[in-house]
Amino acid sequence: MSFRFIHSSDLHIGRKFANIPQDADGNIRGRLMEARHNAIEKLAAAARDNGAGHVLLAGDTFDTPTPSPSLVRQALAAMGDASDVTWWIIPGNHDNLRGAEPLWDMIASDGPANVRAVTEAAPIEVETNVYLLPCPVQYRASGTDPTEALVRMETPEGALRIGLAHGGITDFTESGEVIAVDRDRTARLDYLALGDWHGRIAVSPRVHYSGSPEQDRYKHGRRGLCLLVEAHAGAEPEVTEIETGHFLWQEVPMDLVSGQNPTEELERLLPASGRRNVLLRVRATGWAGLADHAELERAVIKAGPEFACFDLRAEALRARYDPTDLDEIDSSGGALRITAEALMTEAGDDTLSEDDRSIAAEALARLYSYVKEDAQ
Amino acid sequence: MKIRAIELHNVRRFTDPVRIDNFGDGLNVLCEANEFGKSTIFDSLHAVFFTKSGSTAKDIKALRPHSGGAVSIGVEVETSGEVFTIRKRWFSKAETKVFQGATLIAQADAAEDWISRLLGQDGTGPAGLVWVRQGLTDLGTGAKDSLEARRDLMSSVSEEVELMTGGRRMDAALKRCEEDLAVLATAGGKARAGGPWKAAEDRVAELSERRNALQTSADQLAEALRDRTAARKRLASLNDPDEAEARKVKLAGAKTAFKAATEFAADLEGLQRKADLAKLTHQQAAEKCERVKAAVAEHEDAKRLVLDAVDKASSAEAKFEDALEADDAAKSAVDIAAAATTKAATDLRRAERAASAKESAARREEIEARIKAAEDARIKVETTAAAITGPDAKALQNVEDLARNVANTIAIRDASAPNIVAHYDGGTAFNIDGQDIENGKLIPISRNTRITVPGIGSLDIRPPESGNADQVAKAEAALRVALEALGAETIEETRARAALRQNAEVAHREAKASFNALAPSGIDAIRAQLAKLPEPEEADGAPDLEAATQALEAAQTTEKELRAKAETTRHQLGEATNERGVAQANLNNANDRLARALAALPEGGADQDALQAEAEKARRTWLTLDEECTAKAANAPDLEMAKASYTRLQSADEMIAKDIAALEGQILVLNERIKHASGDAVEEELAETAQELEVAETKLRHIVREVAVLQRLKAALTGARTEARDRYFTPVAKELRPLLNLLWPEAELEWSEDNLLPTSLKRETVAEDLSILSGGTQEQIALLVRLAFARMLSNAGRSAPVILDDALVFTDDDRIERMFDALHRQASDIQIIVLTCRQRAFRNLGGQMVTQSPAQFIA
Repeated sequence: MSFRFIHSSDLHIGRKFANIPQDADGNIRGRLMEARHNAIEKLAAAARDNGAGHVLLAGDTFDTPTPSPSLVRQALAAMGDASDVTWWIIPGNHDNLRGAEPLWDMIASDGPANVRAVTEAAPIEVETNVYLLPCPVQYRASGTDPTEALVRMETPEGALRIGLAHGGITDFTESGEVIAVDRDRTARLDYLALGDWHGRIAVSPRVHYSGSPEQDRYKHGRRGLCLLVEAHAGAEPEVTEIETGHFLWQEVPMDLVSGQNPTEELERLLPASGRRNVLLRVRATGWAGLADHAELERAVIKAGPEFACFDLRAEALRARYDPTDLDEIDSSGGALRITAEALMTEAGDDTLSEDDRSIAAEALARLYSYVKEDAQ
Repeated sequence: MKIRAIELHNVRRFTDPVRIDNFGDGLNVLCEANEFGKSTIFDSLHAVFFTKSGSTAKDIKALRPHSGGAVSIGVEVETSGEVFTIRKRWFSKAETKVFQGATLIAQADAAEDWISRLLGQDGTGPAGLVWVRQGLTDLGTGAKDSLEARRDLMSSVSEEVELMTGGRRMDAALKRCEEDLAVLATAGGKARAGGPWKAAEDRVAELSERRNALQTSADQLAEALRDRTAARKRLASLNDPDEAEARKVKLAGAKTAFKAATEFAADLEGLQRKADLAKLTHQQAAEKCERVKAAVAEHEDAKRLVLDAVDKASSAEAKFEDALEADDAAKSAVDIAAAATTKAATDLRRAERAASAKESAARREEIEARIKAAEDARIKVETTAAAITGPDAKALQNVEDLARNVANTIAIRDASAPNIVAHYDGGTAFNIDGQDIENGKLIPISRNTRITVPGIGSLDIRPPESGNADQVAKAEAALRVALEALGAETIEETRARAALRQNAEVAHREAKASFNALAPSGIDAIRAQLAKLPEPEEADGAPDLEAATQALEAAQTTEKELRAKAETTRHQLGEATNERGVAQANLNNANDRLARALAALPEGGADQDALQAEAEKARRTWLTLDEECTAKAANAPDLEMAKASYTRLQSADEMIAKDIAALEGQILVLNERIKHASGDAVEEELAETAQELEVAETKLRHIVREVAVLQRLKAALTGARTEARDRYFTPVAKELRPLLNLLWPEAELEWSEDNLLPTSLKRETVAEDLSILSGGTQEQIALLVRLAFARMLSNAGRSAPVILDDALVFTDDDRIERMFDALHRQASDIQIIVLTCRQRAFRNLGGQMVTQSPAQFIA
């Protein structure tokens, strides 16, 4: 016996992305929000295209416990539009049952027939002899393994057991809410569909995090995806990744060495195409001269607007000063030279605080920019 | 660089080509009348060096003659020992060319760059030449913008200024820094209103406030959800049918138990009342029996008490009578003794008065005797006083002195007089004035003397007159006067009378002493004492004082003893009286008690046995009923407990009904609240606001950082400029000092901190603002400053020609000579070109005269 379905989680519909910088005439936040809504359609398409009649969403479908009614209804309507797919949704920590009670009431009362809000930890026979064993998250923080109940859930002999839960497997906060990594064995599961982690992780052959279908952070370095799962009773499942993400969140390191052209190095790191749908963070490290700093800034100013979002983190890129830099500011030994040398000395003065040193370094870089711009 | 020649063609009045040359290394002078074209030459030089040939600027247009056409100017310059010719043409066929000899080495932009390099700068401003235009003396003290004025002053040396102080590039950088900073912050370092910093702060504050408000709403929603869950759970529990039925059964059971307990309690209470009544009957019978028994006993006791009291009262009465009699006797004895004491006291007072009268009579007698003696003494005092006559001691001494004086004068006289000595051999003696002369005695003869020899005759001796006869006569006369005054004839008489007086005085003093001893205060005082003495009293029959005293003491002792005895009898009488009173009261009380006891006896007698039997019967009835009560109470249900249980269950039932109603109401309210709050999507908005706040805080941190960077840069720039200016002005001031001292010894210029312009001239510790100095002084300072700059540039290997176009128009004859000296001083290693129309005033300038001649201008 086998059962084919789509495993996804952490849609976080309604996330506003207010922390993403947006120009006055830009709309990246709206685009990102829209992409999360569109993930519903992409999941439905993935199911439809692969002959799966069910989509299991392992929590955090909504970003907050109290999303606006229009947001919820539009999401439910999008799921309802995929009438050939049945959606099985459990509460996650963001939309946990207690905190999001009105939400789950609304889904239960007003949701389309093919959307099944699962709010009780009890086996559900989704198809003949195929049982969904859900672990809805009751509270934002419960202090217990949310999958403990799976062990006690009884199903008929020979039935296919599919767990659906939300939570971490690493106890970062020592909260005690860690899912036991051998839960598939202790609960006799054929597959455990997990949510909470936004990146894709295969914990074991039968235990998987699908990750978010649409990424929302630079951490994972790839577009969001869902899992096409072919589960078998008493055998390991077949799991296939299907890319669903529209935006690519990417963080690239750029370690500069003395003499390296920052503009060229930056251009080398940038994707050649599709930049409009890429959120790129360049984390610059190493050393660069004053001219290189100024040039890098100019390059970012030039290339940045091509991207959905471009974030240059240059705090760790240290300024390298040499006589050439100072000569470009003032080679005569006049007041500008005095200024530059004073700031350079201050920037390298170990007796000063790191903050004071870096302020002096930035002031020197700024002086360099002023002088160069003035010369142009 | 040095200028060697200038050629003009079609430049203002020079429509024909003209060449001005003969420029030397030092001071060069072109002294011509007005309208010659000196300013045209000056402007032409300026145009060649600083205005590109493509320019049609106002300054270039001003060079065209009225007839128009292209303006052509050429300048020959020598630099590094080589001579080059710069030719420029504006307007028609504009061009710039540079030749070395006849060889074209650069043209167009290349030629312009060549000129820039010649001037030693990158074309951003004039350098390598120091200009002073006609009448241009403004050092920035006028209406011009200070920066622009600085440009005027520094225009000729801007490259050097640029090198040292940063100049325009420094200005530009500082201005950019200040502008960028001003957008964000005020001069005081606060966020500027309306600026990005303030906006970021406001944004953070606004978002923080909104986030907090939303958090509160979210918390309230979460709380409402928790409350509703709890309420629903509670309501479900309360509405559970099994629990409701169980509560109902419990309540019915409690009610039945309470009813049964109530009825049993009523039965028990009736039985108890009967027992209580029997007990009361028994108690009353017993009490009656006891009362009768007690009354009989009391009657007997009372009778005994009365008899005893009668005996005691009789005894007390007898004792009282005896005591009364003894007391009366004692009182009588005391009275008699008291009368005897009184009489003895009277006798004693009479004896005392008699003794006193006797003493008074003796005293009177004594005083009267003193009065008599005093009278005698007073008479003696008066008698002895009357006896004091004759010369006193002083008068006697005076007579004695006079007598000694007479004797002395006689002795002196006789010493010088002849002496006679009689020697007798018996017989008759010689005499003088009838007085015999002693045998052998030396007799002086100081005057005519007759010595008689009885029987024989007389012998007159006539001694010569002596000088001392007058002193003797005077002394004797004085003696006689004194004796006469005393009423005496001789000194002996006087002595006798003086002795009598002395005796009389002694007697008088003794009489006075005697009187004073008797009556020191006078006789009247003694008489007064006498008057105070009592009159003598008749003392006949008075008893003897000592006997009377002894009689009184005996009488008093007797009285005292009798009084003590009387006190004893009085005390005994008091005690007897009290005893009699107590005995009488006891008797009365006993009679009263007997009367009461008699009254308490039941009428018709007291059958104590019958009463006892009745009481016993009642006791048995009571005990029987009491045992029944105890037995029934032992089996009684706990009424209070049954009641409490029933009441509790009843109350709980009512409370549950109320709880159900309240919970239903609460859930309705919470539903509305949750519906409302969830409809507002507070969590969603909270998440968005939190993210926006994070972005705003990041932005604010960046701005604060930006402000710190700009403030640091501004401080570094201004600090460095100050340092560079100090470094820069030191050589300028050094060059300027000797030039200033040519005009004003010990004078110095003070410079602005802001615009690097001279601000005041300090002479003899007094600093005067340049704006209040005369035009002549101002232009002299302007010129000297430029000369100092030129020397400084020359010292730096950048020889800079100084071109002056009628620069000294206000300077008087005296000063102008010293300015000439200054020019010559600097001209030792600087090329100076002076253009002037003041031929007479500049006659003594000296220097090399430049010449003008027609030229074959090569355009």
